[in-house]
Amino acid sequence: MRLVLIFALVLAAGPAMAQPVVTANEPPSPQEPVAEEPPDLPAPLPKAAPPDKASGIAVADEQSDNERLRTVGRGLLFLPKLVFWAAVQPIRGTVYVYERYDLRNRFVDATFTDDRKFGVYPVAGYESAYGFTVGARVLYKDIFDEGERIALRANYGGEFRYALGIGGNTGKRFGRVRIDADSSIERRTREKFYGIGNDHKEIATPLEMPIDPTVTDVALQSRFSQDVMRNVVGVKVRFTDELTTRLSGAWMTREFGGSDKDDITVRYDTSKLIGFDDGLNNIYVDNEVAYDSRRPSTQYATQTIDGTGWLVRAHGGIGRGLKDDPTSYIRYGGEVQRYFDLYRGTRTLALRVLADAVAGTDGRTDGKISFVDLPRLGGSEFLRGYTSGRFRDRVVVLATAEYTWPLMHNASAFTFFDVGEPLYSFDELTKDTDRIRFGYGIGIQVHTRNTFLMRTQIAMSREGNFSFNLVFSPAFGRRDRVGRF
Amino acid sequence: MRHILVAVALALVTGCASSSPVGTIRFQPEAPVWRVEDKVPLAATPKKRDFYRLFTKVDFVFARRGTRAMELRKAKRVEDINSIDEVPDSTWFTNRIGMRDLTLDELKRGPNVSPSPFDHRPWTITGMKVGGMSLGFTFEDALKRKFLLKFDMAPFPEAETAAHIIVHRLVWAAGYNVPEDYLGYIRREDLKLGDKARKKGVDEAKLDAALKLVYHRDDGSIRAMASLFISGAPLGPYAREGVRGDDPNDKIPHERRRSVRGQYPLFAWVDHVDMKEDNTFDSFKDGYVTHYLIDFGKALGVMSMTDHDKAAGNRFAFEFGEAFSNLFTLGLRARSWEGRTLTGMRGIGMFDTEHYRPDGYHSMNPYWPLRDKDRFDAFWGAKIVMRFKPHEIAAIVDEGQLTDPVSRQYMIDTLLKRQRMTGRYWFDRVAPLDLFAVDQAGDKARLCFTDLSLSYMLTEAPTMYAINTYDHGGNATSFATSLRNGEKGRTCADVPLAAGAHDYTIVRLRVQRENRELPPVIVHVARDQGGHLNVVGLRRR
Repeated sequence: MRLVLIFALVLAAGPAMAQPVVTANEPPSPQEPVAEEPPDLPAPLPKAAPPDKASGIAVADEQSDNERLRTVGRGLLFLPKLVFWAAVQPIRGTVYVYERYDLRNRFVDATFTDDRKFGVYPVAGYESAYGFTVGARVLYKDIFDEGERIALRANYGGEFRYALGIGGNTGKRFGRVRIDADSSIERRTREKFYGIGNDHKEIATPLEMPIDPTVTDVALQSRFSQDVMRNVVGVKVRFTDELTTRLSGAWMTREFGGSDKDDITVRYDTSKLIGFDDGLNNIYVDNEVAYDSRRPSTQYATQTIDGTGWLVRAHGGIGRGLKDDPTSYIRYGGEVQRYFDLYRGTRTLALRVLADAVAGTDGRTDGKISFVDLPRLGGSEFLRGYTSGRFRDRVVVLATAEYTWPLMHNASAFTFFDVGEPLYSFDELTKDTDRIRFGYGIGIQVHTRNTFLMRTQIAMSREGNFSFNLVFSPAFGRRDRVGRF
Repeated sequence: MRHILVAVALALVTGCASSSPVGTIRFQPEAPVWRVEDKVPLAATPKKRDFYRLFTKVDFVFARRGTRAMELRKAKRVEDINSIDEVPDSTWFTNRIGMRDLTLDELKRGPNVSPSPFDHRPWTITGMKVGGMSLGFTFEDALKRKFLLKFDMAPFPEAETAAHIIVHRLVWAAGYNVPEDYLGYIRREDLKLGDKARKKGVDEAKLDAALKLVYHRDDGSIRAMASLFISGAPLGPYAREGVRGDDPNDKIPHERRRSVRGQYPLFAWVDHVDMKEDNTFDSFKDGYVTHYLIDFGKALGVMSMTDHDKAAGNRFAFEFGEAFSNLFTLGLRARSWEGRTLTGMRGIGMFDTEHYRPDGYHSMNPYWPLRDKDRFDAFWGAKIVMRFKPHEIAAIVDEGQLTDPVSRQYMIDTLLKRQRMTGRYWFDRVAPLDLFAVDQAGDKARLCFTDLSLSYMLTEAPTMYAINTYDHGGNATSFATSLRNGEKGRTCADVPLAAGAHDYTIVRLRVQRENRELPPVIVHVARDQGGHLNVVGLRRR
């Protein structure tokens, strides 16, 4: 009881027992900025000490319990840290060697001339649907100092068994007119075919009898090979920065055959597929007019991804067979893209509708168009969620909504919804909602300010199939259409 | 019995000695050290430290970043401070502004003691480097001294050179070693191509082509910044952590140096986002290593302008946590720096006060010492920032030679506002009491101190100081005393001296204002060998 009393007294008397040195003064002036007169300063003393003995500490502070707990945690993480460190050594080692021995410049020095205009260099790539590709390029650029270029290329593996090509363009030599030409021979051994039409039940195992793809749209997974010789010439005229037209023509010969895996000749009655047995030898002439005002909407975002503007494009072309090839069709279509800048150029919504169609043929039995020339849907760009070439028919339509937002300095994410339908004719469009195919997904794209590096995306189809793509171009790319297939 | 009860009561009031509110730390009864001996001659020149930019980037982007995270590193206090929480002079840092008289001329001149190369033309170009948005030459002036030459790129007149010179002078005055850097104007005919440059493949055509990229005045003259090569043997940059193994003078890990960690408020103030290992430099001369900071041209918002990166200075280039968060929030969360804009003023980068957060500064990539800084380091750095007076800042800004008076005034105003924001923020994270002095006052000690928040007029709030005293053993020797702030923030209190060797007395000061109490500062007072009372130690909590 006495203890409590004393304690209470001490508490009560504390302030009274103290001798406060209270200095009553006016509050400091609120004027900004700070007063010119500095506070009094201590004069530095000349005393010196070894660098680690300057603290003057005679007895150090005790370690807290909190710190002991941290020591336990550190012990637990010792092994994971070791494993992580070991795991990153190959990357560190590679980067070290790359930089220490200046491999990039050595490589460029070894493969290019001193003026960097002419060079030979290897290339390698990967596409999830086809695997790895290796190859080489011979490049002669800026030939007459106006951006003219010519390139030879050779590829092996992946999509190709082999591919050889030569191409070039006139750069800025003719001002607003650019002429380009490209010739190539390719052997593709893993081309995919899922029949013609819109069957959604993808079957992986062959049926008892090969199917006639011209009378049923059963989607049986199959592969075929084709040997392609392609020669393309194009003239592009730029009327304004936005308005262009490109007249182009392609002469192609193609020979078809089976494949080691999922052989088309076992699964489909290839005698009914136009051109499969006899090959193709045809030309295709196309004119495209495009108004393209797509552009980044701010200089403070990567310049490789558009953030605002329109693309309005229409094309029309004629395919004709040479010699015995009965090819005879008209191709037409168009595309509208609209980019909306939702927030400061970094959150964008892109909408796209496109249609591609052929006319003058039934697309199946009249022999006027080969199955490889029919418009297609599927892959990493057109109706994502479905494999490349999953659908083909006389008409394809596609609508896309894609929202992009930033992740960090050189990366952004996107989510998309693609809806499309392969059709026999436009009359069938949306008559049966069961025939509508859609895919959706999410992806990440990596870029620098001026270079698009890669895009990886996971997509899921309406039927629940997953696809994963690693692509080295933006989703709504600007590739020339002619010769794309 | 009564004595025991009183002792118990005192202990209850003031805390037990074993977990004393003043801790267990004790200091030697000596005056603080203001200079360290880190110029002990070395037997041999240290090896040049190779620096690989990409390799280092891999480390700070994820490899070392990952292992550092798993080390659960203790927030260790710095080791290069003296007993009163200040940094003594060394090869890293020299107490300058506010610690000794610096004339306005000195502030304007900075470290430049040699004749200006602009007075010794023509210049002989010895090398050239063209980058994406930068261009650099090396040259020898008429006195055969070697310089690095930089320009403003044509789209951004005056910005980079002005930023460099302004920050260069501020950083020097703050106490750091920097090269001698000069700003001026040259003409094309002042540049001669030397044999060294020709051997490297530079010819007149390439020189002319490169110069077309840079800013010219209407009269054809070119604005240029010349940086004198640092004398001595170049040893490369100093490491962001650890010590230089072959330099016995380099005893303290760099990430535990107040002189490095405490740069945070200074760099935040001037938006020096390009702080990285390769913008540091070690030089070996006169038998010892001196440590420099170099290249400030991307500060003052210039990086955001020239590199079109609004986030510069506000987050790391590779911020995986933020990326992960952004991924799942679908970008719906707006980030504060996204609203940054250019002022449109000539020579002014994306530098403002609206988007400035004194604790939000990030160099482009993680720089461990700045990551490891604590509020004590930041307080120390903020004190230096606050020591620049308005007319001194104006004089330094004038060294940047911004030709538009509106730009000049904007730069001064913005620096002043950001200075006060910096001080206000960090002075509110510790008890901002400083400049302690003690004198004998009868049988007591008169302890005086300055409340920096009040002396710099960062707050007008009435302030109370609660004072407790303890002996060397950590036992309370008095009851709490409470007093009001004095004039201009300077307050004195008479405190009883504790019995015992050297009259070692520990004073615990708490600052109470605006209905809150700041963490205490603990001041150790003792008599030295001559019997004079000194503040022998100081610990902030």
